[in-house]
Amino acid sequence: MVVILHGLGCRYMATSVISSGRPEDDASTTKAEQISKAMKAYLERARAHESFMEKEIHDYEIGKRHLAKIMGADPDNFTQEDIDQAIQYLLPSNLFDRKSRPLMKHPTKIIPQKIVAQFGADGRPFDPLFYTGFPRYYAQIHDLGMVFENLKKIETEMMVKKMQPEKELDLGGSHWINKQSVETMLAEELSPGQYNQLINLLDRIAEHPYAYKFHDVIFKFRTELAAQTSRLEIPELKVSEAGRLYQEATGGRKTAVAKVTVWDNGTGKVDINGKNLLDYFPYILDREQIMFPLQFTKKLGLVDFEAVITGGGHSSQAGALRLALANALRSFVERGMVEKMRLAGLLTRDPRMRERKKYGQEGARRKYT
Amino acid sequence: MFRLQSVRHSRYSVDYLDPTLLKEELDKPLEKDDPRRFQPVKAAANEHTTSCTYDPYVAKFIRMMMKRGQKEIARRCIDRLEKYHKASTEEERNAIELDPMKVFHEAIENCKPLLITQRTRRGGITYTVPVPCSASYQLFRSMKWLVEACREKEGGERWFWEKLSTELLAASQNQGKGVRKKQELHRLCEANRAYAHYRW
Repeated sequence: MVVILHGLGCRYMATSVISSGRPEDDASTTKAEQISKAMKAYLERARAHESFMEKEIHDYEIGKRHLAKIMGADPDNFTQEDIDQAIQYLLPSNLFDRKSRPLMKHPTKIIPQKIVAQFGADGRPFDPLFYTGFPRYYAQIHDLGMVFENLKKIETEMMVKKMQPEKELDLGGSHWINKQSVETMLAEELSPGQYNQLINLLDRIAEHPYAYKFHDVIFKFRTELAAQTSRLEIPELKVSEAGRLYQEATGGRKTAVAKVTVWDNGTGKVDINGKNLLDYFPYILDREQIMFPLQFTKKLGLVDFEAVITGGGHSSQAGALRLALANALRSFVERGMVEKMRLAGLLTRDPRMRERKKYGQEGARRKYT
Repeated sequence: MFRLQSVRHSRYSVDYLDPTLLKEELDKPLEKDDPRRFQPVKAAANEHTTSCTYDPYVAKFIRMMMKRGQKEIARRCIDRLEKYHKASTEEERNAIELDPMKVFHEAIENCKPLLITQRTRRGGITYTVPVPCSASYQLFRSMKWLVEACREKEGGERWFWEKLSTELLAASQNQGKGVRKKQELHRLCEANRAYAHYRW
């Protein structure tokens, strides 16, 4: 008799029982008597979960058919996509967090599938680490501990031979995977302390001079950081009917939105909502802000631009125009300069917005009294 | 598991790095494992530029002078000030320093305290203990004294920027209220030097 168990959290529950009979069926046998009380309670929990899941799936199937009828669709060919659309149509929600919006999914998708623990005929688990509650986690810790022991052995051998490590382990451009990824990898829910323990151990391994010999083991726990430069897609310059090169771009800051057209081979002519720069932005702070991308790319006085700005105040309008200009100027300069613009913070949209007023307070932060 | 939007803290996630604005820093090639390669960069602040007119000390001073977010007014004060300096120094033919920026930097430098006092309680008695001052606090203190000195009411009505210009000029020559405040603090530290060991 083999019972396949699925765990939920650190507790294990059965979703299927593959055996000639259930534990109570052979209650008269001596083997069944060997099963401890804890084991019995455990199997009971497992069976309760199994029946719970069966009921949930049954309810889901009926609910799906009802939903199909409401929507006037064929109940037999009602897919998950149709369900999502129907839910969105019937129960519209504007809640910010997607997780708090209503949903209807197959129960096995909502209740996560966990690892399978296997038991022998005597009711004892095969895995010696089963009763730790985190068998896979501790197995992994054990394996990594062995890696560290091996590293120490290698180091001593090399010292005896008076040899130096051939190369260094290159960890640049990658970082340790997060707790969630470790949990999916091990199919166990870990505490923050357990995650830290694992990362500390990995850190010690990675710092070792001979860590490069265990490159694959270490990189199982690392993810590549995406290079920021390659993310930037620079649009090609456009050609007007008159044969002049130009580029269009938009930018925003707070509630201000700026649309700009930058013309090549210009003399520094500026048109902002039908006015020139000095009339539209009387404050020098704003003008300096607008000139920043032009001065940075050495295009001051060499290009013309027309801009349409809406929303916001004078400072945020200048900020929006700065971002729009920087975005457009990317097409006029070489790749290295674009990277410099990114480092100077010209290509990032400032996400800061007006902070909301709180009740019981005079403003966002200021209190009455 | 709720992902709450933080209200009191930064809108940028922790991954974001501060922008690099120094030209020398920008011209250097990025190293292979430089975090700037992989992490996004915050947007530059609205007063930031890489032009010759930008000075981080002046930008900080304007922020400290600013009242109720009126940055433009504070800025105009500084701009007028520069003109005022030029005029006054031209009148005095024997003036040593003509560059307003140099006067400003010298004034800031002269007001920086070396020691500050902290209060510690030992055996029910509060002692005033002199401790060395960090570089950022030195900068803050010197600017604060200069601004406070100009905010003080005087007999005759004078504009803030007028007072500021005389104050900066005086401070650049080791005189004036800001420098006097520094000297007073140093004297206090000197008087309490017997308690210096309470630092530990």
